[in-house]
Amino acid sequence: MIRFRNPGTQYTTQIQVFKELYKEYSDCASFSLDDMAHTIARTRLMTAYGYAGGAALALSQTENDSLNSTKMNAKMYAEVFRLLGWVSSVGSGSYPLCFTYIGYHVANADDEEVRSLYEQCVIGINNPQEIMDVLYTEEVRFFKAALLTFQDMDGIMYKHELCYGPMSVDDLDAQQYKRMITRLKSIRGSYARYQKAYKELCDSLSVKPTLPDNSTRLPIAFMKSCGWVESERSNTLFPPKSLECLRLTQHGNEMAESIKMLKDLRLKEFRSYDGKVRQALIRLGIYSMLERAGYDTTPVQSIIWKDTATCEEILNSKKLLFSPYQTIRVDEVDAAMGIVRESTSSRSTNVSLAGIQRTDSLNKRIRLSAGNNLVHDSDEEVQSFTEKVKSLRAQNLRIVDIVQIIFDGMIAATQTRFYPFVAMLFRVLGFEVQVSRPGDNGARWDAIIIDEINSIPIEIKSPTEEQHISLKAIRQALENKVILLSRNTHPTTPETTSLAVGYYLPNDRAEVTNLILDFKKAYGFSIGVIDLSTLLKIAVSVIVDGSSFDRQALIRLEGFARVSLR
Amino acid sequence: MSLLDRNDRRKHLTVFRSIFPRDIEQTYNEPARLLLSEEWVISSCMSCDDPPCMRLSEHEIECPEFPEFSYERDFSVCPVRAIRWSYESETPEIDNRLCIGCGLCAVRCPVGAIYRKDNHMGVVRRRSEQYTVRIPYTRSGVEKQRGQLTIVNKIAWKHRFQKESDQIMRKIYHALSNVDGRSMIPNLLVRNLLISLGYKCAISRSGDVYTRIDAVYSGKASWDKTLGAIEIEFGRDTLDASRSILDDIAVLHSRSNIDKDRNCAMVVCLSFPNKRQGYFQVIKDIKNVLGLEIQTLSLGALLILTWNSSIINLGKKEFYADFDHLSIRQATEFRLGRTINISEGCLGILEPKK
Repeated sequence: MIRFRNPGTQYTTQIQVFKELYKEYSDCASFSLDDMAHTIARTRLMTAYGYAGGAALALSQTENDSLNSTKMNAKMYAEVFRLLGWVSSVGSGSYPLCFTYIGYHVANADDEEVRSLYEQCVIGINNPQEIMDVLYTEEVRFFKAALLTFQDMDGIMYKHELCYGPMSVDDLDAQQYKRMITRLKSIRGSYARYQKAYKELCDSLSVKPTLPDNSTRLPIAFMKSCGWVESERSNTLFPPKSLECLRLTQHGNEMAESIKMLKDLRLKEFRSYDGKVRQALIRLGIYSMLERAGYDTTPVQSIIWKDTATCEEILNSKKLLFSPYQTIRVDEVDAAMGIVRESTSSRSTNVSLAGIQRTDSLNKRIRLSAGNNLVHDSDEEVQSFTEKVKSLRAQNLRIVDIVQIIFDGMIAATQTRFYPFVAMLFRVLGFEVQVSRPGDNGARWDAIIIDEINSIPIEIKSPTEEQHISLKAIRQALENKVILLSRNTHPTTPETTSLAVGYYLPNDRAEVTNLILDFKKAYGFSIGVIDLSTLLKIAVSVIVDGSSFDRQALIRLEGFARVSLR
Repeated sequence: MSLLDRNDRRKHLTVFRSIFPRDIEQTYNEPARLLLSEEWVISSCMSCDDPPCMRLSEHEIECPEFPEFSYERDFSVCPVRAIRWSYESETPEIDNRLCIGCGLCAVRCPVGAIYRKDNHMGVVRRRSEQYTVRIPYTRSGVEKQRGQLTIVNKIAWKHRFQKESDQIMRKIYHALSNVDGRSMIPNLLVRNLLISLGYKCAISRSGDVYTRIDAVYSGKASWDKTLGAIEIEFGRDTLDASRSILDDIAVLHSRSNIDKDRNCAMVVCLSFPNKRQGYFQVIKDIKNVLGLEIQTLSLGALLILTWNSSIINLGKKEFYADFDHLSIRQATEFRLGRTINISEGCLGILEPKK
């Protein structure tokens, strides 16, 4: 199956990035990935950690290139542009890059004009080719095959049908194509059959189901940008399931019809001809692409006539569908086109780091100390939890093991179980806690620590809602604080924290930290974040060895709570 | 190696012969009329060099006041791409099957040659031979036309695209209900409406998951220092909009030095949230605790203001509504200078639905 990677899929950004690169490097023989990264960041066409421009560039600098988001962004666009034949590798490696003759036309076209050329470049994508290393073996002009498949499948397809359909076929083999259509049709009509077919595909490739799914993102984006397909929900393809499908548009249908009339030349056939014919095919391929995209080929008409005569037997009175820059190396194309590239040095970009650093996690340690903390024994839930902890302790388990057992036991907890459980843990710590009733619009927090001075709203996320505490929870914690201060339902102070409690700490710790700092700086409020494991460590320590903990640290918590077991 | 030209190149432009319009006026659902000499003449398409009815300019879709904001470079005026250039007639052409009737193209026409009648958009192509002439599309021709349009743009007149009604608004809202929720159409629509109302507006890039701010805006005139963040919420999760806008204000305050008290932030929604949803109560809480007045505007209100070339002042927070005052009807009528022809609660355009 063709593995389209998952790079920048947004048409307007692709075009803008390309035009900006052209502005900067059109007078250079080549440009590097660093050059691209610099331009993309400078023109604010990417963001990193919530920043754009030079700050994004600075923040994304790491020693490990694969973690450098700006460079990865540049690589992603380089891949799309190479796939579309707008840039090509200079020399034997993947980089540096140079603009192609088609790329020059794209860069100089206005917004409306560029679409028609973009379409031709999308149709030009084919395999095998000599410009990129790929992991698949299918011999296919994918977008042509996809459009024809849409036509044969009543103009509508589900995205995964692309995977076990035109992404997995050698389209020049008419019998194979026919068998593919027959199979697609035989799977239709039952969701269970679709599931089986998709699973079989994944098994045969030894990949997880997400890989083929991700591989559809770029082709779908291409087809939508060209206006060939649009989304349409349907439950008729694989009943009873309603799925978001793709519907072939009138324009897509017209495109499919028009390419049927062309002589579709692929690499293998191209290589079978002698040098003179190959050069003629290169020129004809490029000029016919431009002609279909609405360019006036009159100035090169004599060349076209001559080359058409040379290739008469191959073309058989048809126009040519062959995109040289997307199939063979740039030097061979340039030689046929008479393009001489000056061997001036490439530009290299010096990246200077701006004064912005990634924010490390905001960790606040809550100190446990020896003490004589009393657990509320009048509370049935607390009592039951205490007994459970004590019984585990009686089995000579360490606190850390007890915490792990209880923690693991909550992985599938829904809101109705998790919210009261979190509230109970705070009661173990000696707080008075109230869980909000579902649908109570007056109390937007999920629970609240009630105190004579420092009431604390708690935003809780159960592991079935989200396993890792998200930015959303932090935003809700801020809203809880604002509401509590505004509505005065419980006494509190601006300095008192507002808590977000969830199963795991956030995945993107840096961005959550930044947001907590932003809230503090803008509004002066502290948001504290506690994961279940940390909360359990405190609660179990209190029960097992009567530890007391620093209540003030919790009341003023800003950032992530951390605790070390004694 | 030289590049090829396109077949479909522009060949002509239209310019005024020797008399320029002294005044322009328009009535709803009709093309504008130009006062040429002492005669009112129906306006016609000038075949502008860079047609403002189709394309926004770089300075309109960028807000330099927000240097860290990574913004979308889609220059289209029409959010659904219903307007295209016809190289045959050398005028814009509107596909009425795609058009949602927002009127953005019409209100950007410098001479009011685009209008809506009988539910169809039209472009006046038949021009007055007496007052206008077609000239070749050359550098000097383009300069001549630009010079003339600069003079025309100085005429103080107001577009009158169409008079609002419940029925018209329902049609537009219905058309938008079919839009893919993940598409850029809502954001493009809001951006372009604000631009038509005299602001610069930038929206976050399509597919940029790292920028949480939907849009930013700032005053177009150098003296207008108004600026702010915008959350665009065409779905039902308006509570998320109030949280998001607090996030936006804090991020801009902390990371981009846009003081929170200077940020005239607003939420643009399709319909005003229901009173019971809690959104307006939270907006009131935000004002109570943080002293921030978050304005709420609906798409419908923006459309009506745009169709009438109204001048609004977002810096004065005139579209602030909260739990104690749930309507922007009064503010909208003040800017329209007349009573608004939308029934109470209709689509949640000026107040929550009944």
